[in-house]
Amino acid sequence: MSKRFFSNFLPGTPAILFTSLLFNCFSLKLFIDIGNYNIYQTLFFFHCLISMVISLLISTPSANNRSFAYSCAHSITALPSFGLICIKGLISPSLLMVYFLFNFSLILTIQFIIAAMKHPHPLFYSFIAICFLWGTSIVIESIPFMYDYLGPLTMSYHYSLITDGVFHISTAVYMALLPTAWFIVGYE
Amino acid sequence: MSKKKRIAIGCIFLSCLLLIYSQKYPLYLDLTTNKHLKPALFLSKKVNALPMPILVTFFVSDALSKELQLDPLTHWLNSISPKVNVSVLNHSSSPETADHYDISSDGIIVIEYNGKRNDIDLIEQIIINESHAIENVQNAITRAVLQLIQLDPIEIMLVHSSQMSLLDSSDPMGLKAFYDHFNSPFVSIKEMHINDVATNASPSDLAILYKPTEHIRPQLPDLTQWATQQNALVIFAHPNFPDISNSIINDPSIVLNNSIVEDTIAHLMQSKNQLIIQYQTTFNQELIGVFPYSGFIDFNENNGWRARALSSPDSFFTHQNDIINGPFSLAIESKNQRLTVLNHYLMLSNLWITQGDNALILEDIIYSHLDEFPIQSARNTRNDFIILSPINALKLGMMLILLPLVAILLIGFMARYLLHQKASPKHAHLPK
Repeated sequence: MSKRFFSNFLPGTPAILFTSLLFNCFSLKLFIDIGNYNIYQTLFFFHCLISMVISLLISTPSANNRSFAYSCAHSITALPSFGLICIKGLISPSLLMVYFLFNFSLILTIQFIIAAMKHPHPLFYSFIAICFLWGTSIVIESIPFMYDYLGPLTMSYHYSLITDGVFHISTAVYMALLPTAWFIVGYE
Repeated sequence: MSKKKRIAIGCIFLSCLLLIYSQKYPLYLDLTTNKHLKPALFLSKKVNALPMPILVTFFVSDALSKELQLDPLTHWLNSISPKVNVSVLNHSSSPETADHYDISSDGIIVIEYNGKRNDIDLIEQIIINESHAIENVQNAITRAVLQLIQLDPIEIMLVHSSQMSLLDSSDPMGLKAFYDHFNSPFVSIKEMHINDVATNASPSDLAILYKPTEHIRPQLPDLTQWATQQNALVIFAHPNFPDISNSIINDPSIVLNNSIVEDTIAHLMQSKNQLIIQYQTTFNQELIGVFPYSGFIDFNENNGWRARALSSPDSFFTHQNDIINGPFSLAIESKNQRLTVLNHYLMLSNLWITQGDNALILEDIIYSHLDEFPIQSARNTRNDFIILSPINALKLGMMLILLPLVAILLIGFMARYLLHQKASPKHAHLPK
């Protein structure tokens, strides 16, 4: 157990408790509302967006190793809900693992986006940048030619692939490329 | 901008191009629980050997595509072969193309090869497929592709003892509705009199022996030999003459009985022997059929047979003044899928084929013998349902709310303890 990890993790324990409550209460509500364990698509979407928002809020104004570790710790608090769905056989452990790697990659990207924003309002501009990175494919999905070319460059495209159970080689490249690209953009 | 940064941005740009280009190739890992998205090797071999490409066009709205989660299907289809060209269109936003294909409704998959076309109606698939399992759509696509690329149509031979043509007869007991349902450019149905089986020895893809009665006893040796020569055989037996059917099947582990099964609850209004039955398809779907005037089949599961249609637990038959309670097997299939036996024959007729899911049941029986591809079995969804009893709600609450909180607090305390033990004086006090 790394001392550095705990030193990052420990001060935020109460906040992590609330994040755990947020994710797991939401999944409990879905379990009760829908009446079966087949809630993973909704839960993945909720978890992905909320963990990105939490990471954005935690990491602004200064993103660093600590904010990355802390954001990841928040993200994995949804594990009991995903674990239960996984035990029931609706999603495979490999899908869960790849999804969390993707999620961590997005969190890392957020750190680099915030670090790259040399502006008095980094939260606002980072939020806009993430909205574009996430949602461009939603806007252009009805235009087949453009979607074929620009879709693979957006977060939501790869998110959909992973949650559908397809781990394409381009998704692996995207997971490495996206944080690297923003690191280079912010590099001086 | 420094030279290093310019080079790095150039590399990123190239990687983006590579990322877009790689979409054309099905280089992916299948993360699903039952691995149904992995490339279909059987189909790949067949399609790669074709001289022309196969065109697959999905006419689906965004809402239906999301409801059925069709996106992975395009990856699966692309993974079959580079010769499969997939396009997804919304019939309302591409009216010219939809007109060209004569598509007016949502949810049609058009598969084309060499000027021939085979359509799959997704709405029909949803109706018979409660769990909306994508595997059943994959099976339907595989079947449609194999039908398109076959050189000659599949031949089904109906063998019966009637002097008149049954396939042309529109009488309630005729089989014209059966003929109209199955005869297509890909399936050819012919009929033959039982007297001709000795002279017409060439086996068809599937033979159907319909309603063998006492009249055929003189032809029994020829018929028994003919039955053994068939690639696949379906017998619609007459429950009043089980010994004839038993002689043709010639297997001691299966006995057709002449006791007619009745039901106190699961029956139609007119008669207690018009049974409402449960049928399990080869794709693992549940269908509800109406089997009138059926006898039960006694068989040994260990000898390579399995039940496909069962009567309800309220069914019974009377034997020497004793009432024997069900459920009973009314249709069974050999595990090598060469022979299916039903101890009744009426469901094939014009009157009964339209009752319940009888047409779908017949389709399943026939295609279970004709399909020569590995079936993608859908995940069993029976364990997905949560019975919201107070104890189950409490268990869920404990697992999702209480245990994570306790775990996080324990990790916090443990971390605090470890840091106090190991921290140097500089790090002893953590920020609050």
